Parts: sequence; C-alpha cells; structure tokens
Amino acid sequence: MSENEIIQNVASLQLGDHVALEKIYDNYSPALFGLCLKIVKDEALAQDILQEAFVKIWSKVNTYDNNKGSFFTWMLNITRNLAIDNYRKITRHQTISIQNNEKSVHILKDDKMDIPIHHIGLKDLVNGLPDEQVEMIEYLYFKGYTQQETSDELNIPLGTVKTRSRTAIASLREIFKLFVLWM
Amino acid sequence: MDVKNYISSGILERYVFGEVSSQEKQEVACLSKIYPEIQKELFAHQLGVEKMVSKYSVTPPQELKQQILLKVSNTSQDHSTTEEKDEKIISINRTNQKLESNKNIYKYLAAACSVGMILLLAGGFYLNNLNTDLKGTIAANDNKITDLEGDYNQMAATNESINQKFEMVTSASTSKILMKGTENQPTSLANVFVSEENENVYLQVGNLPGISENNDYQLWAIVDGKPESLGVFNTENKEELLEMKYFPNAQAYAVTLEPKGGSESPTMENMYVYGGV
Repeated sequence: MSENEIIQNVASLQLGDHVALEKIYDNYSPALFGLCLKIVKDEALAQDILQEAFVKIWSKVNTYDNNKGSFFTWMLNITRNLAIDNYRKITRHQTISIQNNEKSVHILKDDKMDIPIHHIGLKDLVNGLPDEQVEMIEYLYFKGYTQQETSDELNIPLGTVKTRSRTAIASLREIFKLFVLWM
Repeated sequence: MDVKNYISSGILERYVFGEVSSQEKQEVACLSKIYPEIQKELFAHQLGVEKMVSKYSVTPPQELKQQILLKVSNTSQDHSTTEEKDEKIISINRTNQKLESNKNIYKYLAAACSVGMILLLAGGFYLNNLNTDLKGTIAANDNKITDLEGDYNQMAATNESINQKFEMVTSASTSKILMKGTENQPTSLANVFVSEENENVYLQVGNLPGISENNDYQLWAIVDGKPESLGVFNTENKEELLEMKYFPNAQAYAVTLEPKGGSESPTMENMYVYGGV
C-alpha cells in the first residue's frame, strides 16, 4: 500500500467507510496478528486480541494524529497494548501455578526460549543483531517491560539496559536501510 | 532548546518502546511538531520497529476476517479526536493544581503581609503611646524638680535668715531684754533682742494670749520716758523671731494691745509685758 493509498484509506476510515477498513485489514492484519502471536503465544487468544484491536482501530480512528507517527505505528501501538495487557493476565496465572509446581518453572523457561525461534519470520534480520540487543527488544517491546523491570529481571545494571536498548533501536534502523537496498 | 541533546537523551527510544508517562508522551508529540529534526528521528525509530514487527507477520485464518468485519460493522465510531481523554484530564488537572497551589501561596503571602502590617501598626502605635507616656512622666518629673528647687531655695533662704537671726541673737554685741507680765497679765512673757551696733531689733513672742482679728499687739520703746512705736504684730507665728523697727537709746520695752493697725500712743491699761534694759 503506497503512502497516498494509506492517507486516502485513513481519511475514508475516519468518515466511517467499511470498505476502507477491509483494505486496511487485508494490508496490515498479518503484521498485527504476528505481533499478537509473538506477545501472547496463543493462537485463539491472538485471534481475540486481533478482533479487539480492529474494533478499536475502527472506533478510535478519529484520534489518530499523523504528526505523532505513521498509521501503521498507531495500529501497532493499539495492538501491542492490548496484547501485553492480555499477556500480563496470563503470566499472572502462570505465576500462581509456578508456586504449586516446581517443574512448571522449567517448562515456562523453556517456553520462553522457544518462542522467538518459532515466530521469527526473516531470521536474517534478527540474526543481524547481537543477542543482547535482541533480548532488549524482546523485553522492552514484546513483553512491555520497563527499563527498570528489564534490569531487575536480567540482573544487569539499568545503565546497561538504557545503552543496549538505544543501540538496538539504532540497529533496527540500520538493518531497515539495508533491507530497502536489497529490495 | 538543544534539539541534539534532546534526541540523545534517550526519551525517543523509550517513547517507541511505550515506556513514557502521559506527560512525556505529550512532550514528545509536541516537540516533534515544532522541531522537524526530532520528528524525523522519531519516525525513523518507528519505521525500524514497523519493519521489525513486519518480519513476524502471520496471516490470520480466513474466517477471522469476516468475523472481525462483522463485529466492526456493529460498532459505532467514536468521533472525539482527543486521544486518551483520562490522561489529558489528569494533566489539565495537574496544571490547575499547580495554579491553585500558586494561588494559595499568594493567598498565604497576602495574609502574612497584612498580619505583618497590623503588627507593625500596632507596634508603632504602642511605641508612640509609650513615648507620649514617657514624655508626660518626664514633664511631671521636671515640674517636681522645679517645685523642689523652689522649696530648696525657699528653705535655703529661710535657713539663711535663721542663721542671720541666730548669729545676731548669739552675738556678743546683742543684748536680750526680758519682758515680764504685768499685774493684769502675770503669765505673759516676751523677749526683745537689740543690737545697737547693727541697729536691729528682734521680738520673740514667748507667751502672749491669742487676739481677735480687730486687734494687734504693738511694741514700744521707752526713750527718756516717752513711748516710741516699733511696729505691730500678732501671735500667728509665735516661734518666729520678728524683725521690728530700731530706735536708739531705749531704756525699756513694752507690748500693749491696740486696735488693728496700732495706735499713736500706747493704751496703758492694756499693757501685757514690760522689761527694762
């Protein structure tokens, strides 16, 4: 979808055009669904979240402000927030079960390790990043941890978290540039 | 504003990861509108994330699309353009609270100022009253001092005259003449002190009966058988030594009771005391 098409569709969407929504859905639902899956790691739940996200995109489209970023980023933020809220509900439940069963701790840990590998679409992108930066993106973006929480969880200094997260974002930009060149 | 500093502060990265307060969120949005460099940097960050997320794309099941489109067609749109109302209201309230607390500070300042003014005025009034009181006290004391000075001067003068009289009385050249009561007035008594040298005559009332306002006692000097008036007196100041007229070469002194102001010649039957030199 070209930039002009996006602008037109957003304008139509703001006027209540259902056809525009369908076009947006066709164009962006894979990215948004992938994001849901990446965060909650549950197919059924990811579908519920995607539906909730589109309902919100539809009803709140008038609050979108193109000065703050692209429409895609706006949709990503809505979806990500809903998914992280749901993810937190799940992990709260799991934490309770951890207290009852020691083994589940290991299962959960193994699970965590598996997930990135499961859902990585283009491995070359993430492979281009050092592990420590991938880890930052995992915690700060997909798990929605704060820098402090990440520091506590990974047992690394807060300053290191700040530096690594900034480097990670810079790397994403660089890789994107390379990606464009390849295209 | 130092745009480079702001960009390198790390806030844009936190913004992209969603780790900013609603205030910081508004700040970034606002500054990126004002400074194209900030917006460019922010959008570049977002694009990086968009591309990264896109790499995890998974096409959702076909039936989900119809389900979602149906759900959306039953949902009405929210036409408010304000994002996250609650947060904005909170931030507005925060501003109001600040203003409110500033207002309160001014209120307190104003109250403190008026209390200070009242205290100053009251203090000034009190000091002024105190000053007036002290001035009054000083004036009263000055008056007392003047009075006492007058009293002192009077006493000094009295003392002086007493000393003079004492000196005269005790002087070797002064003679004391006892005047004894006559047959009619046996208890009466008076003395005369005469200094021929200084030509002074003093009368000491010893014991003379009280007299009416219409009468005076009169002192006489008898010179060569003839009476000479030495002046009138009464018995008001019995203790005093009364200075009388002097007449030289008197052989005797006498006191008679006369009408007020005295007589040309003594009334012999009213002679109270008599004494020869």
